[in-house]
Amino acid sequence: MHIRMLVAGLAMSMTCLTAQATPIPSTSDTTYHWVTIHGERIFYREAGPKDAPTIVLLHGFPSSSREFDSLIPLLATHYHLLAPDFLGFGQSDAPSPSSYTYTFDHLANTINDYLEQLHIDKYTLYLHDYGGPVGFRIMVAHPERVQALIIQNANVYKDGLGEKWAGIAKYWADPTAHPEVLDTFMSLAAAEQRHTGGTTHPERYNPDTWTDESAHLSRPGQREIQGALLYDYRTNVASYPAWQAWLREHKPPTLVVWGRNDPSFVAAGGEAFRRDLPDANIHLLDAGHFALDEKDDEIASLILNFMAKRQP
Amino acid sequence: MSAFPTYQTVSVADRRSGTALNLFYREAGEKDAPAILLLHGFPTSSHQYRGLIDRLAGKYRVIAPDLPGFGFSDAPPAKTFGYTFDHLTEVIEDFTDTVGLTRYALYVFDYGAPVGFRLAVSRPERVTAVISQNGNAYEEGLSEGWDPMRAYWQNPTDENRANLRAFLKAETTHFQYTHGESDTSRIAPESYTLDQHFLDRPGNDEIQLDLFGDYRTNVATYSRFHDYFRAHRPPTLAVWGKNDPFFLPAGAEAFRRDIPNAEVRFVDAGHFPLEAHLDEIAGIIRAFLSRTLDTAQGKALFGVLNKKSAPPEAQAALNAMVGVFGFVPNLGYALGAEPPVLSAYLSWLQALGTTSLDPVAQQVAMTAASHANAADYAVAVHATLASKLGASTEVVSALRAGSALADPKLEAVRRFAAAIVTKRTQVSDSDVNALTVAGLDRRAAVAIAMAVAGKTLVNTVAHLSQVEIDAGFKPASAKTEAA
Repeated sequence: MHIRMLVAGLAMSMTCLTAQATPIPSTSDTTYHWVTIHGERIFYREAGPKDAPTIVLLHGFPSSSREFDSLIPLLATHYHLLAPDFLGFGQSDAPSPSSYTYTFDHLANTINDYLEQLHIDKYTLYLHDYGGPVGFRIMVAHPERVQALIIQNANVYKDGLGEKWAGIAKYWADPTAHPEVLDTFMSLAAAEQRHTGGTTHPERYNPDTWTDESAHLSRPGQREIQGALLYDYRTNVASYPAWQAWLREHKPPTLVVWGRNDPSFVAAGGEAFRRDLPDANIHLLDAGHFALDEKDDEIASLILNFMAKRQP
Repeated sequence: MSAFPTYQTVSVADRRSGTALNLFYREAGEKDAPAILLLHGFPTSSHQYRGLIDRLAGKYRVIAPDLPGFGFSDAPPAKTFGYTFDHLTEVIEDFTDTVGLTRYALYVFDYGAPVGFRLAVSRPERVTAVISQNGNAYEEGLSEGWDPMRAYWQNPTDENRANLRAFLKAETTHFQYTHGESDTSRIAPESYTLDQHFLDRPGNDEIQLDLFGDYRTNVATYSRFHDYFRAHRPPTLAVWGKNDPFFLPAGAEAFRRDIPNAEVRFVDAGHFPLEAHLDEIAGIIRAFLSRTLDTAQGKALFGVLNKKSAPPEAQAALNAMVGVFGFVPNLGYALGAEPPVLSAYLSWLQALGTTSLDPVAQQVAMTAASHANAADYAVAVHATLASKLGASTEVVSALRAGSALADPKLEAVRRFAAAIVTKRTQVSDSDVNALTVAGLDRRAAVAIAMAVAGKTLVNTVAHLSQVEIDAGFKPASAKTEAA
């Protein structure tokens, strides 16, 4: 045996080195922040190395960035993640509709201002549900900033609108005549159904999600806020042709991960992206509207593969 | 994920009224794996364990019920149910029967402690280990924060009861999560938000006030808990947030009075350390469990390890180890079970010694990999070697604790080695960037990869054989380290 070198190594002395006592969080840890945009506090989750490519995750109704709770650590080993709550949602401020006009245009402007304030000028957008019309508006306004799209049950095709939208169309035609549409939309039962609807594994669904959402919807002022946004949703449907044309023209690299059991945004809405983006990478998953509830691992690995192929 | 976490409800008949109670619980891990029962505290629910469950489920069956009156379990009215810690314990005992938990490690926090320790007193044979995370069982653990409760215990007037309503307010719930935490940006707001939602339910106030009143019975029962500790000496880990405003560090130290071998660890955290210090605590727990549960087969396979157990072909290599360490480390006997492996390991150490990585950095890489593998034997060895190589006391104690190093180069080595383990070899660009920014090149990257590879071998054999840490590697000798 030749141990001499090792012994010599052990005998070697080193200059004095110091250490700090507190452990530094690993880069995959999520942190939770608030930032003020035009006088309103926007809450956001952040994770991953700041020098890594950024993915901005935009949430759906009636959730918040919390829906990305389990996905974020799975991506944070390789990417910088930012997930803000829209005003009126989650932990962000919910100014009254008399001081903040709740439209998708306005939500998109606020989120864009938020990204600019954080100096995030290149990013991939992960869009779910309401995050779709918010993110598409940002993308059309700043095409040079968006490096890729990840679409998860974020609809931009009429083909994707499930049956319940016929009821909502009545609300669009005359909101005051159809308060029952908003009642249903904001109910605890609907909040739970948005998660568990269509699943064959209800025991895999964490009740924290819809309990949080329902508690939030029960707060004073929420009925007006959510009523205004539901009414404004008609402007999204009206924008579908323009957004489809934009996709055809710009051909952003796109990954579609779509819970195919979603009754709100049916599978055809995921398939339809192929019409305008023949190269889109489309995966219909055995999951519901909140596909991450059950398929976070699968979606994370699809995203990691999609992103890795796009890196130089 | 090897096994999905599930969210289910079971019905348990209340022994006192005969009525059915629906109890919600989170569960993850393989059904035949060693079980861990996680009992939550006030004012929360099994929600507090959402992160820990993920980190333990790869190896253990983890079950976390919500107590009656909390979270998603039924919360019958205070007047009809009778909220006492005795009653909660009965319900949880019946819950364990219903879900088929016959042996379990008991993880207790806050209210989980008086419930869990009553359960242990009732069925001591079922408890394989105790993990107390700010789960108190000693009077010296109770801070002045309990004074309003004490006033109510001594004098249960309406006024004293009304004073306790301050504990139900949103500000207090927020305080419970943030007090004693240096970086509140690491605390997920859904924690206190969801807790407050449950507290604000109609009638929940009376439930909580009744339990505040009954908490005096816990203090009165401490001596019975101590009798159980002394009689059964369960393997025990007390891992406490040392800035907890309700349960003082003295409460953690006190476990040693009745269980002299109890491991006591402090984290620079408050009452809910699982929020901002999850990985640190999960690491301590994994290391504790890895030498406590599910080790019998490996131990039996190796048997007693000493000079006699080693095959003659291993003697030359064992003698060589004496040249390095002054004695044969216990691990030498375990590796020596297969003599060519022991020889290869020593050659490997020697090769690592000749790489471009400086000698302390080599020890840092090996310690970091071992930490990530929850392998305290090798952590002890390499922290000791780092000390012998001249690393400062601060570096050595950081290596033992798994904390960050102030020297940027050593810290980069530590992180890169840990990333190789935790990312199962698939390090990312930002890991590589961090290495190169610190002035380390591809030679260093290859050397660190080698350090990690060697520790995969050694950590595996140390875990299998459950080798004792040799006296020469114990932290007790830290006083003389780097002297």
